[in-house]
Amino acid sequence: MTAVRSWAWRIGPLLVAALVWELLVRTGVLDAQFFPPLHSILQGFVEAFTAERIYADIAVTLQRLGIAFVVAALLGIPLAIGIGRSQVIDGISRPFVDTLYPVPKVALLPMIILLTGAGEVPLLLVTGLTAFLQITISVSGAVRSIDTTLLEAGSNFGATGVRHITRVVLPALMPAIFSALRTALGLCLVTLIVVEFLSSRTGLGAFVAISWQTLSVNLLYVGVLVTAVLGHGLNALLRIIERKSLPWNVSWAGAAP
Amino acid sequence: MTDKTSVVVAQVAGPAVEKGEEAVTTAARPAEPRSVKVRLEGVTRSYPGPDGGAVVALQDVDLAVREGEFVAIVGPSGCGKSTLLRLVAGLQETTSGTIDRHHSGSARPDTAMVFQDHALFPWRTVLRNVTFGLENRGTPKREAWEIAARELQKLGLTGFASAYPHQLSGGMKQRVGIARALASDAEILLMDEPLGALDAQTRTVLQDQILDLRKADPSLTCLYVTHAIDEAVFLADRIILMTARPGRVKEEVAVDLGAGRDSSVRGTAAFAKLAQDIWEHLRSEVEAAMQQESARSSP
Amino acid sequence: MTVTTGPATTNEATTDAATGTRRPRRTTRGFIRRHWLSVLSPLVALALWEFASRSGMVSPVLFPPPSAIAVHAVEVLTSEPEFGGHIWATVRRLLLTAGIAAVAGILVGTLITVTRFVGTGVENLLAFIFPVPSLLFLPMITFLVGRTETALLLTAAVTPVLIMVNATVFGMRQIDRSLVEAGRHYGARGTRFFSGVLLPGAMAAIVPGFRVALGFSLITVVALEMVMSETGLGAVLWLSWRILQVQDMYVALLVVAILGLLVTRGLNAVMDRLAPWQATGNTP
Ligand SMILES: Nc1ncnc2c1ncn2[C@@H]1O[C@H](COP(=O)(O)OP(=O)(O)O)[C@@H](O)[C@H]1O
Ligand SMILES: [Mg+2]
Repeated sequence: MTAVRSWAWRIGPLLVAALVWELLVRTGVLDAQFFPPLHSILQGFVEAFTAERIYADIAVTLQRLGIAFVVAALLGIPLAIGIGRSQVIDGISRPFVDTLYPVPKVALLPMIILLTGAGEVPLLLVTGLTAFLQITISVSGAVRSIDTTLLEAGSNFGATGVRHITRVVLPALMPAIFSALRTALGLCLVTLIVVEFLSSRTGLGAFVAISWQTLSVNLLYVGVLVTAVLGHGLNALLRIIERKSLPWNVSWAGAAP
Repeated sequence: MTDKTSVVVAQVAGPAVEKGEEAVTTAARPAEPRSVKVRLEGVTRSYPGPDGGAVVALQDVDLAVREGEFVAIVGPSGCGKSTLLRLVAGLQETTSGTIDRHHSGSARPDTAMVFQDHALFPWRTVLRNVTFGLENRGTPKREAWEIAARELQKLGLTGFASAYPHQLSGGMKQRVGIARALASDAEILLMDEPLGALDAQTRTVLQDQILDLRKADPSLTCLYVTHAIDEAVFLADRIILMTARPGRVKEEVAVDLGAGRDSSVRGTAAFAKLAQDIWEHLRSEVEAAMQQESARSSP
Repeated sequence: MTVTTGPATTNEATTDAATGTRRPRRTTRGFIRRHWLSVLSPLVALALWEFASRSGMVSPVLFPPPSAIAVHAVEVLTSEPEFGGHIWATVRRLLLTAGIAAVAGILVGTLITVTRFVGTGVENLLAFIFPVPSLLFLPMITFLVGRTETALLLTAAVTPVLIMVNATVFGMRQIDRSLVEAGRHYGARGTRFFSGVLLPGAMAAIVPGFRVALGFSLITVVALEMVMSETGLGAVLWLSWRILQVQDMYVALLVVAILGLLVTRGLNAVMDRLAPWQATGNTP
């Protein structure tokens, strides 16, 4: 019941918006050459998915995202725990993390291309750096705010050394880690699409850029819509993983799926 | 904003509700014909319940409060005391029944509420919390400040006018809440467990202050919700005892400790006796309420 | 008894017993003694870079030594008014975008909060486009207003506006119910209710939201300058890279980094100004 209603609330406004769009186009308020009626956008979908071009672009984007994001998480989480637990690691890495974090990562693109040459690597580096910094900053903050009594209880009952990390610190951190991962994934996708738009011939960002340059207006909208769906899909995927792996976490209990 | 008040002056003489099956003290009302400030007739209020049903918070409540009267409402938690005040304040509508607020026709607002959790605006200083209602009524700034300063002085808060709420102790916040209500000079003062969250000593001091406020202004009309029987006995002219949910009026008790009572009345035998009698009557309701609670949380 | 404190305040703050407030101890020597690692590590990195570049381990053309970049930066910033113009172009765009985001975001957010049915619909619609980077709206917006400065500003504002809408809606919904009631009870209606209760009540969420929005504005403004502008730091970055004016590129990057730092750091100060009642949190 409530699930149906919540989906209706999500889909309904989209339908209304589509209707308003169609109305604006039909009445000539929007120029049909640039703002095509719904059926031609649908045609664009058919075209994009049957001509198989967009599959490749989606796959490329997902692949880049996957590599950059996973590497960033694997490096960022341990570093964050290190920063939170050791003054030395904190002291050495903080200046770099704090300086790089607020810099728009796209601005680093030219420099990184100089460093590594054009191709896949600069895209991956810029995207991965975005996720890495986000994860490091959020998780290291969370490490410091772990309930100290929990840590004390852990040591008191004999969890020391590596066990202390794996049995007390990490579990206590999991909710914060997932929340950081979700934020980072969103940012990561945004950055990747932007750098693809700027400097690549493949991927969803490039798909939109090329559609724009060639004035394939229908495909342009397809690219934007697919990006939105991709963003929501990835977010939902992380939420499902979170729910499956942290059944004890109450932060989402009772919330609609 | 007085359009909702209907005139009920004609019925002024009508007695207060006598609903109790076995009244402890049948109210020996003084005969002076003071006008009724607010009258509730057959007031029922229900909320949507957890599984589609309805939770009846208040049922068939009749009550009249006269000018200058201090009426305390006592009952187990969850029996609808807050609901009653919110209905009188117009923050909620009744499900059935009527509430007549008899307004004297001046520019004074109907009601001013002291909220259970103080509800001070954290972004406003003490002074500006107190002037809030006046500002909204378009009172000139100077005048509003003067009124607020006066009320703050009454409550011993003069030095704290420019402090923010988070800098105050619980007792001080509650006093600011009272000052805010007094400053708006409403026809009826509504107080919802204003001292509920305070420690025992602070409560005693504030009870004395509220009693002083009463003495300073005999025309003050007040509906005062509390769960503390001694507090009700100490402050009120009349105490309404409520049943467990659905809240009805169980008894009505007149407090004959004299208008000139002071702090020392707490030590008298009459005080202790009255409090004890009221507790005897309330005990079964409190037990019933506790059972409701555990029935709800056990499934 | 140990005192748990928030991130990074452990060493730098002393508790003033009289007022209970924390004050950073401001002596340079004290700072270095406590943070010598943080001072040393970037210096080591710069020294390594300097050495690698001067010894030819990396190409000094593509990666000039930091000292040379610093000299060049001083030169450019002091003697080339043109560069100042580029900085101003970016700052101006940043401020305008943030302004659009604040005004439109708070307005739409408020409307969403106070109008139940339509509000929820609009909210869900906006939630749908939220993951789309601002940049992808550029084509559509240029169809409407051409390849103009307006198009740049509107495009850059898309995500920041959405962030501000979210922050506003969230902030207004989490205002204590009793505060909302107290506001109404003491006669606040319409715009008074907005300015006296809703807006200040939501500030706790709006100000951090604004910081995030500013960060996104900077990202998109720079990206858009790369794509479609001849002015601004993004354009300098892109064009100087194209023609391998590498030193100009580094200077532009440096200034962008400083802007980014200002955006996050500077706003903390603004935040304390705007919401003094939150100095120690509003819950006891
Ligand atoms: N807004 C509301 N929605 C649903 N139920 C409510 C609401 N307010 C109060 N109730 C219910 O009504 C009953 C009476 O509440 P209240 O008036 O707050 O009691 P009291 O102040 O006497 O403790 C309680 O069972 C409470 O759960
Ligand atoms: Mg209550």
